[in-house]
Amino acid sequence: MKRALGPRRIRIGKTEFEPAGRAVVDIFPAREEDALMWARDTLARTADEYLTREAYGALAAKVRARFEGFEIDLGRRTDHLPGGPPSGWGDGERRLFWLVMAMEDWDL
Amino acid sequence: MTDGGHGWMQNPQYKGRGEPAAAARVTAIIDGARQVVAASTFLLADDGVASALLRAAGRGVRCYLMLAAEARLRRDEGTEFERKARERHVRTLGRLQGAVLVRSADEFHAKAVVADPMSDAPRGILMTANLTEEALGRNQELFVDLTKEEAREAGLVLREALWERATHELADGDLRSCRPLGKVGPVETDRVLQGGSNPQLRERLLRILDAGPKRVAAASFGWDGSHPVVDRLCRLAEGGADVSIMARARRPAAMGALERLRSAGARVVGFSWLHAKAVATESEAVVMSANIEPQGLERGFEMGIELGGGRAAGIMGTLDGWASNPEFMLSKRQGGARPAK
Repeated sequence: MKRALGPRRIRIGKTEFEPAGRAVVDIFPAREEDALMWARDTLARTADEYLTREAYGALAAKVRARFEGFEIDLGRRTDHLPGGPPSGWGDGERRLFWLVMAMEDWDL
Repeated sequence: MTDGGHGWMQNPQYKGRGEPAAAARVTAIIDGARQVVAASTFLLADDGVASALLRAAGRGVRCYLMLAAEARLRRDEGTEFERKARERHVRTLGRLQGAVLVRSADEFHAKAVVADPMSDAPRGILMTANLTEEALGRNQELFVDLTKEEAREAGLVLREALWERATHELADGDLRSCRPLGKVGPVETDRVLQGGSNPQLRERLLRILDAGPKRVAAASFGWDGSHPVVDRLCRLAEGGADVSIMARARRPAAMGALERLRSAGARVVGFSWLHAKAVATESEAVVMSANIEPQGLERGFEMGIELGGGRAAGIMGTLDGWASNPEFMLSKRQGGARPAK
């Protein structure tokens, strides 16, 4: 699914993770409800599949970064992250994966 | 020696080969990565390297690949050989799809593989070779294992290239434009030399040659007869220095420079598959991705490294070995004969 999200900000509250690993994501300006769902699902799948419960906590240490007009706050990388996005992820999901990884891997 | 055409005399005794351990040295860097691999190459068409990148991604290492000109590759026709190489390149990228982030910039010509560049234990190799089977197994190429500090610097250069210089990103077989991040400033390096629009590499070469070495060996795929580096090499040869020049044989675009160097007294030898770029003296050596021409030393983005001591002697030894076993030798006149020494 390709969607031009445009500049916006995703924020993950430092303790706002539901027991099932669902990240609570705020996007503002919340122009599109679809965008919110997309980001939530993407981040939740990352958490569900690859992050331990300790890593959820590590997400609380937020990193502010700006990349290609897409501003995002996320937690520090842990050793539990994968080498590449899982197969089956959509274009936007993979892009988010690499955005997050790049910020961490290259200290951007 | 027999007439090899275009002024080159062919050595029937020539037995050439590439660097047999090159591919293993490259894959060892990738296999040793713990968090990140960053590689830059013009083409990627080597199954062993691709497999190593997939192994790395499988164990949780993020792989970033910087290509020189993905957009250009897709529109150029070129020769039959180039077309086949591009086809293998596209197939290889297909293998890596989803596992490796691929970005490209037309101007980027540096060639290196670095593991864990932002960690406290970076490793890397700087090359004149692209990551293709031919370059890693057949061509005359040079490979320099980087020290920890050199690998860190090379990583910083690749970081800037990936996030500030890249113009395109490849995903799902689709090449799309991307913008500079705007967060990584120009990198200042000391051990790793940056070339092209950055004058660092050219200035280092000129400084080495202006020091008046008694012996010089220089190799390059491309040569420009009016380049200041060629001026210096001619001046040294005319002054009695022992100057050996290695080039890709039978490239008309380079003949003006090579004829000029030969006329100045340099010994000019050629090879069908030479792709190395280096200048070595009795005490220093620079190995680089840049050809000795404006597109390389004045334009684009290149990477090199200055070596001293035993490492410089090693490069000089390799160049001496090539020069003493030439496939071709430039004759005095176009079509004329010049006996091998």
